[in-house]
Amino acid sequence: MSQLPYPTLTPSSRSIAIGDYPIKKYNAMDGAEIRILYGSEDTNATMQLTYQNITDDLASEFIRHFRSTKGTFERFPVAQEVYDGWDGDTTVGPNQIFRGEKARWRHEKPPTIASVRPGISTVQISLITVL
Amino acid sequence: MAFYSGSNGELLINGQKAARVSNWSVSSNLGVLDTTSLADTDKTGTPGIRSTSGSCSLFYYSDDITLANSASTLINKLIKTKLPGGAPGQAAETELVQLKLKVNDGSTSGKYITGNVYLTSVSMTMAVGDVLSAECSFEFSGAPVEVFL
Repeated sequence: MSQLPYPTLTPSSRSIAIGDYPIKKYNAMDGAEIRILYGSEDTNATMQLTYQNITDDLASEFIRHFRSTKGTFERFPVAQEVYDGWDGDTTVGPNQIFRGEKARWRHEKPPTIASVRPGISTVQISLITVL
Repeated sequence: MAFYSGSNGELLINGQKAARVSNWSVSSNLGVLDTTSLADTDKTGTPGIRSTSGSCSLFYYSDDITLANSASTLINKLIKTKLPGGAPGQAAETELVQLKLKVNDGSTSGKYITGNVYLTSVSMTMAVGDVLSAECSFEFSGAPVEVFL
């Protein structure tokens, strides 16, 4: 199965934890702290998306997409609709919320789907960036 | 064009007309599920679960001939005695009862809403100067069986 595009649906809530630079910290015997920077980009940003009360058909798109990315294995770009409501930059500039076009997301864990009533579900997606 | 008042009201319990009903009320509600998404400026929704409930008041009245007591009929659907030989906390299940809340509009069938309900509360107060009556609240189990309003 080839990779399907991420569903073009605006989430009802979005939570992003900006990634950090890869750093190693060492403490000398006298207590002095030494930090070594191992990369030039921050990474491992995470994003939690909630799609509240959507139809089961739309919820199925997330299942199909998850399977098309071989679960948590493959990387993929998310749809622009994921950033709806965010006025800052998404791909470039100092206010960007993830690391430019280099960044690709992958599923951090399988989507969870809660059935609300017949035909209506709430889907939660957890993503993590990888450079 | 006609208005209706208490004199046009009627309550049937399992198909039998209840005696000495002083009032009934019914209320239907729809829970709207929120579908508001990011970048929306106004709340949007989709229909969720409906619920119907109501209440009625009946005088605690015994018919001299039939000895029927409509208030007692409803009370006994909710209040159950301990099972013989059973533990103190074990009694028979609350019974489902069919209520028909009717408006006699002059037609043969009248206007009505019928449903299977569970009594959710029954209260009675004995007081000097007051006629004993039962205040009952009920909740429909499932959608109404018949609605003709």
